[in-house]
Amino acid sequence: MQAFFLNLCLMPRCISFLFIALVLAACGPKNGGVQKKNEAKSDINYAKCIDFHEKKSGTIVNLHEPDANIHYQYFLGKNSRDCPKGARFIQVPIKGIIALSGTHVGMLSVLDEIKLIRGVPNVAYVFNKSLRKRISRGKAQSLGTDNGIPVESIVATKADVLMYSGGFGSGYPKEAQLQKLGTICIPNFDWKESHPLGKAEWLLLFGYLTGKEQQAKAYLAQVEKRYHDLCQRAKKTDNRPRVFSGNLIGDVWFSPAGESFGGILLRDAGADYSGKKTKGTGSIERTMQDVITKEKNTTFWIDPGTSSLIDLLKRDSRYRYLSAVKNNNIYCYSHAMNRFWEMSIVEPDKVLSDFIRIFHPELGLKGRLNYYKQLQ
Amino acid sequence: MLGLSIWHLNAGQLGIGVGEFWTAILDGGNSTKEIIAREFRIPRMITALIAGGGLAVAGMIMQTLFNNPLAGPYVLGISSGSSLFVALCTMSGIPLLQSNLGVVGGAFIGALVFGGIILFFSFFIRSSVSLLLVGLMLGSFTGSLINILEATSAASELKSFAMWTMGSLQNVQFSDLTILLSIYLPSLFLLVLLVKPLNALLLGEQEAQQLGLNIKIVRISCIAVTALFTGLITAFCGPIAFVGLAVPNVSRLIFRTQNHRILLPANLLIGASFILFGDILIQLLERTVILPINVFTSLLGAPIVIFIILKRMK
Repeated sequence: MQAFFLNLCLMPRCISFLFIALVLAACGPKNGGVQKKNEAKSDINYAKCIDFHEKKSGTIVNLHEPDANIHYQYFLGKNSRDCPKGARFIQVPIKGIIALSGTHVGMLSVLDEIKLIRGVPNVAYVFNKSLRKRISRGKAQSLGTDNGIPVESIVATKADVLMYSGGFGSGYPKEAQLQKLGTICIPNFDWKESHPLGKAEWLLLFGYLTGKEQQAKAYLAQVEKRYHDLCQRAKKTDNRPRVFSGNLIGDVWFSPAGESFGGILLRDAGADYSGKKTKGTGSIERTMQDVITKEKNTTFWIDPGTSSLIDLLKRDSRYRYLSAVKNNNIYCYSHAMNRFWEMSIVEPDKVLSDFIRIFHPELGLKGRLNYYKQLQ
Repeated sequence: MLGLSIWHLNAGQLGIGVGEFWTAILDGGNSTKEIIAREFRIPRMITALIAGGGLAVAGMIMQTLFNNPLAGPYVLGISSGSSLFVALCTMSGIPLLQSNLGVVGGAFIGALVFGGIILFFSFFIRSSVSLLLVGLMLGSFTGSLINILEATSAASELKSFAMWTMGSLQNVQFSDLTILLSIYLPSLFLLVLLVKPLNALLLGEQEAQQLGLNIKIVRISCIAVTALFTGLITAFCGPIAFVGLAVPNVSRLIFRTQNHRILLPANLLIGASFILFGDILIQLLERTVILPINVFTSLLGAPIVIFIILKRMK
């Protein structure tokens, strides 16, 4: 009888396992990157768009473009002879990289590899002091808008890798020519990850590219522990303040969906987020009328798209009817915007601790806000 | 139009009674429904009336002046002038210019400046077709300048400008209505004075001159009124496409007349109804998708223009 119940209990797990196995088989890498003996799947726990398989001769990296069912496979190793058929070979450690997003800069700074950066789109958006210095000394280039960089400018940097934010159903412009000229383009889908720790796990890619994967793993383990400790702290209070998020762009109010990065952070911080029941990992669209109607008495407003209360009311004086505006319970990541875009991806625990400090002063978390700031 | 206006006021997701509309205006009530009625529904409905009527009338004047059914505020480069000045404001990096006030002022000044440029050319160029070509060239020239600004601006500024180009009836607040109406209503009166000269222009410029019409003054007045209407509407709503082009043609098709005594009120009514109807549809679709007003005007306006061209070819 006991065995029957045990079987009954295990059956859904077996079915789930079978289902997951089938899904993984169906969604697996297109280009022949099947896991073989002498391979160990690297520990990715939250990210959905990337996985690694460590082999003796190198590491296979699989990148999965969400919503488009496009898969990319790279082999990071010492010798191209070990590269599986269909995968693109990248000799590691790389000698130089063009980082087309601030998040790439942040990840390289955690690994202390800023010196590898040969180019960024625009120095105005760089927070990292060391990189700014390198750009001013001509050791790295400010290349212009990310999709319109001339091939010759890219080649002149002698970078062997160009990392770009992918996810638009196509590769980087002139990718094939760049590969022939010695620069391999790698799409990065960190921004498509819904879990804050999943975004951070993209650090592993930079770890494998720079030969510092052990350092990356150790760093991520610390971040994960701190993040979960903070989640536990937030659960200790029954206070669940009502929060709404986002801002108006044109006629559309964009705010994070319940299952998105922003939605998960607010949930983990113990907030009663107004969009918590909405499905999806992207953003939800609302009208201004809807926001004024439903959020008139909401306590907190997060990410209003400006750091100044005066500017907010100049944009639309109708915000004055919101209780969050009347009490100035509005917070934006405006301590240093560029620092937020660069570093918050590898410091999700710090973003979470900011939210807990804002929503739960009763928990008495020590220290100041890291990224967020009350509107001035 | 009255029916559409009432429907428009009640098209939103929140049910608001007649009483609440009254208290919202008269007592300045601050309940959610009263705020929505006063700050959103009423300004949006009045903006739709002004934008639709004003752009249709501006198009009608241009089509008569240039004796061309495809003329409109866009073709003369007046709307392009507004766009250029708004692009300069939003991408200037100067907070005051980037503010709502800066954008509204920029659009209005842009329309007046480019209206002035066209006026300047109208002193030297006698042929209306040549003047129309100058307008087209101005539009093309400003388009290139905007492209340069877009290529060199930051992503957030580019986004802000792109959103403005989609048009919106929702930016106007209750307090803005005074400015809008105080310019719009006197301009309508000026327009009534233009009815006779516009009817005379239908005979051709030479015949109109023989009737004692001062063509130069008529031209100046027509362009000035068009710039005023276009500037005002573009300033508050962004560039709304096709209304100025399609509605005057629809009015002529419906009323089968060229008489501006009929066409002026017809354009005001049909233009306002066109935008009201479009915005009602947009509000009804809001639960599923939020669309800008230009999507509707272009979707319906483009087939109308094609239909007119085909009809004239027959």
